[in-house]
Amino acid sequence: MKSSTMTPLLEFPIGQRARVASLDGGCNCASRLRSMGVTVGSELELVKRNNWGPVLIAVGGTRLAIGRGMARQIHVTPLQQD
Amino acid sequence: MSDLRDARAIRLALAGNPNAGKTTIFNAITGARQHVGNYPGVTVERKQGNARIDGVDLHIEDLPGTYSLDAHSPEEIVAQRMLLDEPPDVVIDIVDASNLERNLYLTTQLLELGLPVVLAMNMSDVAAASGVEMDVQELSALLGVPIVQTVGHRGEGVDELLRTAVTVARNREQAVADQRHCTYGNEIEQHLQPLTRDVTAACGEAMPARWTALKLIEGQDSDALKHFHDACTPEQAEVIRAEAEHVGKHLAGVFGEAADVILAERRFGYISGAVSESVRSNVHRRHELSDKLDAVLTHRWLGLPVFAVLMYAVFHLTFTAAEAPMHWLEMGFEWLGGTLATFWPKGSDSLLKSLVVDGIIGGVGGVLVFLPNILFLFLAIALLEDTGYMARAAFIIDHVMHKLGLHGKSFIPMLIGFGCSVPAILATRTLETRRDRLTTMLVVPLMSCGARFPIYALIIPAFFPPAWRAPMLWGIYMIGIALAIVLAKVLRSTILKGETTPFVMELPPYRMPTTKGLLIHTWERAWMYVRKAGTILLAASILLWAVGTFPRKQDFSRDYDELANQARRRYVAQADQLAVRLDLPDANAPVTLAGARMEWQEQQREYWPHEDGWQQAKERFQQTKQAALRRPGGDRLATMLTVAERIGEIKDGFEELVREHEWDEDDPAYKLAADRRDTKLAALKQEYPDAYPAAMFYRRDMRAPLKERLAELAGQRGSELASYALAGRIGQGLEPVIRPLGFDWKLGTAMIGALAAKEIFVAQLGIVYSVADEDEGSAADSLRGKLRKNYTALQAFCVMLFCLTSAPCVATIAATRQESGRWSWALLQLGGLTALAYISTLIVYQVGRLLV
Repeated sequence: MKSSTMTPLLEFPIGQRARVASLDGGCNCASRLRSMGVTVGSELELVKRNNWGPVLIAVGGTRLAIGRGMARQIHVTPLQQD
Repeated sequence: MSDLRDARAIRLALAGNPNAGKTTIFNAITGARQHVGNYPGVTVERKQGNARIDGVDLHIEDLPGTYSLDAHSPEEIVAQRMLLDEPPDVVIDIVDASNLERNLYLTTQLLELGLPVVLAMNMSDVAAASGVEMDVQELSALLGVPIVQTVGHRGEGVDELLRTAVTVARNREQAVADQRHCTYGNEIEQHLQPLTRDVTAACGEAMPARWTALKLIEGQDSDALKHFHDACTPEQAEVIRAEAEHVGKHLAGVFGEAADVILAERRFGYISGAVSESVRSNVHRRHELSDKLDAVLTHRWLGLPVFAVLMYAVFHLTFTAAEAPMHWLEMGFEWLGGTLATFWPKGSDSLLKSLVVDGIIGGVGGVLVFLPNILFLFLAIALLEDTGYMARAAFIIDHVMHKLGLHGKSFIPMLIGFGCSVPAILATRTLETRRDRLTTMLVVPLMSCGARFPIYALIIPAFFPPAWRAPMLWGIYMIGIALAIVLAKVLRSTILKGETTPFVMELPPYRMPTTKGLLIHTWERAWMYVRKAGTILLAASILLWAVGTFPRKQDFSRDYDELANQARRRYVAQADQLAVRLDLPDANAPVTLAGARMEWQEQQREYWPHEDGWQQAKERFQQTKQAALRRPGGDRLATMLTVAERIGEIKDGFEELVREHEWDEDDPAYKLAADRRDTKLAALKQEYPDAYPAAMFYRRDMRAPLKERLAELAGQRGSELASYALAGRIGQGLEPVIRPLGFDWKLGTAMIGALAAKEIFVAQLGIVYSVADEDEGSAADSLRGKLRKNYTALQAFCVMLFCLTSAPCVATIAATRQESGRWSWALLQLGGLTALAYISTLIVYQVGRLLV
């Protein structure tokens, strides 16, 4: 899965679809994300990112607010728009 | 077997993700027939309810909303434990149709547990409207479970769901056999299946074998696995665990990831396969409206102001809308106290009467009058929660809270704290980690609760000019918030050290709340408050009453009864001066009348108005009065009395007007009203040039001094009692300690009262300052006057600061004990906050004294 175009989620452009490439971090935090649908290979979109506070992503049919610390653990690869 | 099952209620468990509409369906099924409690040992709400369909009784258990059964959060642990310990006949899995993939993750785990499952495809209308095309039959076949489409908030499909559940419950074995498990691929299955067989061999039917095998491979040491240890011998358990550990390591080696990660990914893979077979969707559209709202409500600059305005609106609603019902409740309790008091002879010194009327009704009633406040606050909060805004509020405020070492979600309990700390502490349940929960719980009492308001309302007008009052009140609230911030920081860097939990929260789409849902959610929380008042507060009120009453002083420093009689004799003696002023032939008439009046007052102290003695005494007084007025010069005496009454009406009318409008003395309206009063009095004087001065004499030199003297004596007697009782002695004992804060023993005694409920401070201060509470308005005014005489503005501020910060009330401490599970946290809260109050007040008072 890990490829050269892997970008940290926090630096990914807003509004583009992406695929989760890696999910690091403490087991509790990653498995929590996993049970909410954010797994390696799942598709997501960065909806909102302010200069502070949590970021907002769209996964499946929901919006998830993710703390910045946790968002730093997520790396994504861009997905071709169809 | 099936006959047996028909005979009793079928037990259903509702499982599902948060925000999948589980609560709405639960409410639709059970209506008001539900019961909210707690799961033993944890602070997760347990909801149960009953229903009936086609003559079959159903018992429904609403499991906490979870994304999985991985046992990471208290909710997940509880849900898992419930399903293992008390397996229901059928699990109804509520699934959000427009968010299928994530919702089905929990479904795969439920299926692995080997329980019969019925799927409720909820919000299928929304999903259909947003372009999801679903082949329900296909999905049902793929998963091997019946699926019923529901629209929770309209109650659609609920009956069919229950009928399906009943059918499945009657054919459990068949239903379970039909269910399809998630398959994990060859590499995993070839290890998983032998392990599953070993578990079956060791435990038989006692454990869901595949589920147990998976949990063992994942290496989770959850307490659910203790069943596994109970079900087989220690040797078998040892062998199987070792085997599972080996498989886990092997898989991690092959796939380069931990076993639980791989298994989770495989489950999602399996789900996405099933979904792609049966569903065609473009779910992005569902959030169109929500996203538009979010563009404003969570906007980087607009978000915070909108949030502030909404919070202000919540407070405004809470305080203004609750004003009238609060007043009714106050009157209701007053009436109740008054009515109960008539069961005892008037003037009785009965301890039981004092306990019931002053202790219980005064204490519990004093707290229950805040119920309307609490109801409105909770209604507002339910509205914010049910629409979906609360999650946004947490999102917006998270970065601020994060800096304080708190969590975005901590904000909700803190908001509730402005109403009452008790439900606020119960609301800390929404927080995920114990550290977050404890930090929030410990600082919540610094949010100035509704019960502290009466203290400020007494003190601020007594010491500060009108222009200062509002900023002063606002300032007190702000100081509370600031101290909470500091305290949270300190806690976070000392005893509750550790990383703040990462913030992950679903932002559900905005929804229109249902009336039923709002009412149920409001009532649930308000009920906790009422229950507290009925239990802990009742006990505390009795205790504090006892501390304030015993030991009872028997020998007073002075003979108050004799002193009162002296004052009465003086009143009667002065009556002959009336004869001189009215130019009566002799003093007989006024003296007789004055004597009769004293006797009538004495009878009034002894009888209730509904008793015969009262009526008889009244008639006797009327007769004596008439007789006196028939004597020579009686007509002049009668005129004087009428004039005195008219003067009273004019003056009372003026005072009532001032109280009603809260005019200050330098208010132009006040001056205008005073002028009008004086004009009226002058007119009266002109009309009755002879009677007027006598009437003034009667009012000013006879009645007023008597009334004042009697109140003074009653007050002094009360004060002696109060200082003799335990509370007063403690207050006096504390004086050396609290003197550096600028407090004397009277304030100390009142603060002990505040332990039961903050607003008791005011009542207790009234007692030690011996203000006889003849009528509300003037009692508060005269107490203010006494406070002004005895304390400086700096001391007054220190009192408010101390009341704001110090020891929370007993109900709060009890709630902390209950929610934290340990007395040590509750005592830490009590001691820590009191220490904080002491230190901050000490600094303010000592520094203030140097400056002023």
